[in-house]
Amino acid sequence: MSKEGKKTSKLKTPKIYVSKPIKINLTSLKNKIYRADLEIDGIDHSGASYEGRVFLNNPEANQDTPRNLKNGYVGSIYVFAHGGCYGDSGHCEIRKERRLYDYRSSNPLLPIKKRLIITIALSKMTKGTKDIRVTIVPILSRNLPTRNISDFEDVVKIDTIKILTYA
Amino acid sequence: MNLPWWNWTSEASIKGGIPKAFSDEFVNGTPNPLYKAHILVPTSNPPFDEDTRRDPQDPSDLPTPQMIDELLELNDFDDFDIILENIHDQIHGWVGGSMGLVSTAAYDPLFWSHHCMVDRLWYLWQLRHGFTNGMQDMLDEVLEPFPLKVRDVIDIRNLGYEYAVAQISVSV
Repeated sequence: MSKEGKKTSKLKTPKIYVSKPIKINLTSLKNKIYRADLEIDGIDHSGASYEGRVFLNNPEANQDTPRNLKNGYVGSIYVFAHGGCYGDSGHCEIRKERRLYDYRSSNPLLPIKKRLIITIALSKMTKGTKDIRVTIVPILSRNLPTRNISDFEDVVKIDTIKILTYA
Repeated sequence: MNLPWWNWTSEASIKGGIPKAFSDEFVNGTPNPLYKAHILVPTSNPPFDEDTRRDPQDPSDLPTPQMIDELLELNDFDDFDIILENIHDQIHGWVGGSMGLVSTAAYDPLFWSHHCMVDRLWYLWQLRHGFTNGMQDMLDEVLEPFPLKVRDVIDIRNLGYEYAVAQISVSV
């Protein structure tokens, strides 16, 4: 294993994210939903890259939990991140404002959105359930150039989680 | 110039991971230029002066052909965009090392064949669902630093290349 690999393996296990309960009344939508999505928005991608394994109603899920529906696993989000800032002070500050008729691309560090289609999983898993908790278990990419990444333990930073159903 | 795509869903990839053309350190005793490259950025903070590296995960964790079939069936551009991006990100994380970060990924020769595969999937989706389907609001976005807009590059046939849609061979 390379020097960098050793450095990575010594990192503490990143924190697992568990959401507050999301209230949803599936009983009233039974047999009417043709699609359900889980949307995670406002994801920070300035630091380390990771796989976020997403589990529904399994707040005890961790890095060793098998990825199957029985354990609430509904898919993974993958965050390809920037690895910290390699410029001078202010280089990676996000400028959100865009002038009218400014058609230039938006700032590459703006938070991103991920979506998992969870129609089958939701219909199978939540019979009678009205509260859903979302657990995101981060698995860091291996052997990353780590020198400008400071926040490995708190890698999952998000703004909102939504469950969208289409009936 | 030809740029081969790395089909991460192929049987060879799911068994063996990164193609040998990229993973063999030497070819006939000569260092393989596709195995690694050097990152030299003296102006970065701190300066970069190192070779690219990889640390791939288990090949069985690569995307499956079924995932790609489902991706190409999506009608809505926003769905396609967000799920293709997730698969793209997955491969970067799967390869790990320099490919695992935005700042360093493009230095790895494998980056280009990975992105060629992403470009190919985009083309295959367009053939099924239309070249500008769902993109009307973006056609006038400027593609800095190039003097081009999205509408100028939306159809790769206007750029002078295309991808084979399928491959059939017979023994003769």
